[in-house]
Amino acid sequence: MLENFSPAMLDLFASSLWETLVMVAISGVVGSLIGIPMGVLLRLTDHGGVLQNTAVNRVLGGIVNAVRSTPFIILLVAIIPFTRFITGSSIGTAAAVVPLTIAAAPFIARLVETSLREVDAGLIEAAQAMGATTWQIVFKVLLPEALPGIVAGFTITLVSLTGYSAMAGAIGGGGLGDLGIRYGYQRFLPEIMLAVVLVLIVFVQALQSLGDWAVRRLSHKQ
Amino acid sequence: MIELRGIHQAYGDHVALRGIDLKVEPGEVFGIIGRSGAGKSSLVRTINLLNRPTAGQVIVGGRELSSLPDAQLREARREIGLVFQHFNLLSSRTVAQNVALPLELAGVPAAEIRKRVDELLDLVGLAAMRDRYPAQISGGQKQRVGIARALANRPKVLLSDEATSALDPETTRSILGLLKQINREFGLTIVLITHQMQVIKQVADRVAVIDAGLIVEQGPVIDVFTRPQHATTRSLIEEIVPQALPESVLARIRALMSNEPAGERSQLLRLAFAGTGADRPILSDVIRDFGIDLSIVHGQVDEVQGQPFASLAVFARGAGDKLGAAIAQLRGAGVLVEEVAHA
Repeated sequence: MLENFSPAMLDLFASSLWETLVMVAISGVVGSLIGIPMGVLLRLTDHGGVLQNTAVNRVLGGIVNAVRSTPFIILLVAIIPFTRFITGSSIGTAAAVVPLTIAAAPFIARLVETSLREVDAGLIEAAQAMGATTWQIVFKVLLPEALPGIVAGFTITLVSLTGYSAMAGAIGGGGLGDLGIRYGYQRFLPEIMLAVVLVLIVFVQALQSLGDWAVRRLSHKQ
Repeated sequence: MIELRGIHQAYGDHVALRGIDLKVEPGEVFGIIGRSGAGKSSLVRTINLLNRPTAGQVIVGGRELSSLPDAQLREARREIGLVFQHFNLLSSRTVAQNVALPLELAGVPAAEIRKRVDELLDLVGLAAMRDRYPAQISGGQKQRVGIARALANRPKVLLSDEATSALDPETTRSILGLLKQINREFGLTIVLITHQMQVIKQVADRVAVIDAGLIVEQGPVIDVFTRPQHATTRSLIEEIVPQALPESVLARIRALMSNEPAGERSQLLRLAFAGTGADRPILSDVIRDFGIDLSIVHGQVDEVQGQPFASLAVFARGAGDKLGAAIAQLRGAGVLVEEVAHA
């Protein structure tokens, strides 16, 4: 059984893990850069928000819901022209990062919106009473107060992206999930499949623990 | 310092304020008391325009806020400190950082912020707690942080919205003591919103009673305490100065009334007096001068704003004409006398 884990196979594991890391990290970070402002805007324009604006809120909310309802495997192929425009190719790890980012952004937007909603309205009122501008309310009150929640949401996003990234094999994105499908399933090597799952379990555990630790460090509510 | 003219506030169908006129003088502690839902919180938020009134004018420090553009309104709000019932401190900031927040928002340089925060923490007695987070300090300490924060930009006016309602009686006294000290030391005008008459009694110079969106009574605290006019005022004062007599007392009075000696008259009276008059032996005087009997059956002698005041239920008995003359003399001495129903 162990003979299947040849040095070449181990190399493949290492490069697949690296591909997963790259896909998850880049799409997580770029997705946050898009998703956090979207989440803030959703909160601000919501009913009772500082910039209450039903039209903007509905449109933005509609876009977020539309992307989130599209199954990832369909999103992956549906946006191939856009992916090619961004990365110059429709296959490979870089190409997989584009749909992963597009899937991550609205997910993060909703998680950020929820975290911001948890911030006591009294704090916003206090800031307004001090003469804060909307910009100051966002950066001095809302985001710092919601930071532990946002980090917890970011952790959930990274774990979900790890799952999504397994589908990236469909466009040649590589990664651990792809390795499991190609070797474990299509070549009937169940021990490879098992090894892939074990590595992913350890990977997700590590991510979650790191996230939990960060939340504990950041939260001063208790 | 603060003038409200014809303030109306409606939220959809619900009318919270229906024509409030109010004037707060510089350097005074002005109390606004009412039950929950009377419109107090709407009213205090009107003063810094966190609530935009449906109609009316808000003038603070000679400036009409309702006509100011946004940027200038933000400037104006820095001159109005606000202290909240639930403190509203940022959980992500330490005590010192919370106090620094309004200064950061106003763009004060960091070195100056540090100096001012130290001053403020000394003032409220929390210098030792500067690096704690709000979750690590007590309610009274949180409110001290809230007060220090409200004072950071050296406001002209401090608004307190039920600042002591979430605190125990002892902490309430110490927070009110701090507010009074700030009022005296800096001549800061303070507007206190509360539902507790105890708070008004301890710190306010003048008081307005708000009921169903209207000011039903206002005046110096001592006057409102001794001569409450409106039913709402009476019931709010009840917790400090009992307005109704207990049934046991009334039963004794009825027994006394039923065996009245011939040629004598009996009356159950409420006597209220305040200020310097309360020091003089007014009761002994009338007893001696008219040869009547007075027995105190119920009552309260207390101090409001450093002035003695008393509200007593007195059973009076004497020859018919003497009793009337005695009441006239009491009234002449500035005592509020009214007959109390005892049936």
